[in-house]
Amino acid sequence: MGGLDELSVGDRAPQRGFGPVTMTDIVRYQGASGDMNPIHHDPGFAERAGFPAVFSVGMLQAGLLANFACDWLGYENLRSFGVRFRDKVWPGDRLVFDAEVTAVHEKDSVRMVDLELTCTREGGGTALAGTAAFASPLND
Amino acid sequence: MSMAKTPISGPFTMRVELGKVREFLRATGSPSWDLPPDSHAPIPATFLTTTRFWDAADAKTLMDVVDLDLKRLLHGSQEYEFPTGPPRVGEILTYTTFLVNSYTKVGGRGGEMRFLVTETEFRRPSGDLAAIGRGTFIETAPPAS
Repeated sequence: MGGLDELSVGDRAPQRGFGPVTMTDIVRYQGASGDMNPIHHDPGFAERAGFPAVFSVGMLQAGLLANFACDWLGYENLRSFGVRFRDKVWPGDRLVFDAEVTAVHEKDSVRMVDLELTCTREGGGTALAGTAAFASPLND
Repeated sequence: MSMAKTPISGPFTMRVELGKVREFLRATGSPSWDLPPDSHAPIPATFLTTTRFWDAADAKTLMDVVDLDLKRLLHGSQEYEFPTGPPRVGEILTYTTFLVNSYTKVGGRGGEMRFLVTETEFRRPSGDLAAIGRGTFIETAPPAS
């Protein structure tokens, strides 16, 4: 990677895809995170709760989006990451991740790069809208 | 509208474990999940959601502090701040969760939606703030009766 120092406003990460989201992906994430809510893996439970089927854990999409950003700019350089949950993600969905540099600025003599992040459902809308801030290591 | 910070749970203490970080990286689509046995890699951004494994069995939750209808509760947003970069494999962190804000908004269909904001502070043994997790939970408006 060229380095955070070479980025300017408008630069975009190479787009990444994920999917189709499978039940196994959901179950693996539930085991890894400890969130065992049956609404995400028990079809009967999901139906009784009023949903047509089980749906993915929002924080799974959040993790996928965060790692997409950190694979681009470095896990150790991350200073903040946040998402707003918009649409649910369902088994079979194909997801697309995008990142765009929205600001480059200095803070306490460290170069900061701000990103706007999105996780979009192919054929659907925005599942997650997020932001992240990375610090350039050269000035640390 | 501001409110006093209301403690919800903690302090509890967790250890950032290599095996768990590898599992979590793999579960969240990272191609570099195969960290070596001597790794002190930084955690992925959302790893601190795994505090579930370290909470005391009788830990209180938001539902114990606020009277909520679980059937109408949605996770609206989640964010993490790492003032000096993410904690690393091997670190020990002590964390406490607070309710920091509560407000209402009229929803699209005229009913009242309630927003609840929690913050979890993660500190190193030195007392330094290692991370903050902040979640917004939305109790949607009750169905029209």
